[in-house]
Amino acid sequence: MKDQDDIYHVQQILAGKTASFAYLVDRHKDMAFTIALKIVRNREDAEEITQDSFVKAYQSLRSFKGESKFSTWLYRIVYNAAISHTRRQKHEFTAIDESLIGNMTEDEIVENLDQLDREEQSKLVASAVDHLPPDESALVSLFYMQETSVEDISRITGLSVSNVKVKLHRIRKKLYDVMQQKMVRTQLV
Amino acid sequence: MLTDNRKEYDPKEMQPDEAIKRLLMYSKPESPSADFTARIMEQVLAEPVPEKSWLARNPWVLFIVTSAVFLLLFYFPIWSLFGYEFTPGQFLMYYAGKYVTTAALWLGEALSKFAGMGKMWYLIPVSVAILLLAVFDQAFSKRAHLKTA
Repeated sequence: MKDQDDIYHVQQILAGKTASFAYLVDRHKDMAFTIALKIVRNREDAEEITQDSFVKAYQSLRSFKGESKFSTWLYRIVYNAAISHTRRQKHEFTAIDESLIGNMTEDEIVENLDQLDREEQSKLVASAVDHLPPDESALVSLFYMQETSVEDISRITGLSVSNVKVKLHRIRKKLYDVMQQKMVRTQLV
Repeated sequence: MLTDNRKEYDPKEMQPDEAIKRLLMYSKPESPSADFTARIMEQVLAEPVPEKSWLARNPWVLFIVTSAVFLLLFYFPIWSLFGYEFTPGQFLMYYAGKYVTTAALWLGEALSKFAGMGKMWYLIPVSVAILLLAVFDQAFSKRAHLKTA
């Protein structure tokens, strides 16, 4: 239903009712901003990228054929803009410290997480997500937070469906590794 | 509690891992600043969605006109323009010949300029090598970035 609303508002804009674009911005700004922020890791840059992406989406609205959801089309613009930005900036990312990764199983990690309260759990997992490389961090937001389908993630990122699946599988493993590493550091285990 | 279905997890099925999903459930998407929508609308209202040109909306007109011109050129028996008389097909052959000759002359001139460079000729392969190195460097750094990412 929400997707139909998007299409309706796109048609309204194309018919000359520019104010309808405010609905689309309000509805998608948070997720679009989150994708950009996960990739560029800087609020100011992320906001600028998201704003530019919305304006670009507006200007190329006629090329949106409705073959995919409007959100998928928009997030692809944001994702590409943010990735291009990081390529220009050439960010360095902290690699996972292998020496701190123990031999805990995923069940043991979850058991240890159970000892933490909800806020601490959220902080730990959010920090683990931030530890991932930018594109993987964005994939987590899309797949777990937005519950975007693998097919739509493939359209957004330009990766093949099988590549997205492989990446998500690796990301999941990495998240457990990083959480374990962080638990070792904070002597939770 | 983090009761989950991770043991049934199969990447081929690709259902979100419940444990991670539950952990992330409380992480809300981030929000941009409060005046974000207003700023975009201000920018957007200043420039309406670009209208498609009349020709872009009616591409068939271009097709019909082009086809008509070609038909005239090929099938009109004999016609004259500025004193020149053309027979079927001759018009196109005339211009094709003219442009091929111009291109060949330009190529010949460019080659003779390179040949006249004398001792400076080595600058050409050196420049090409530098250009190739820059291209390879960009390609490899992009690949390295993708691997890191």
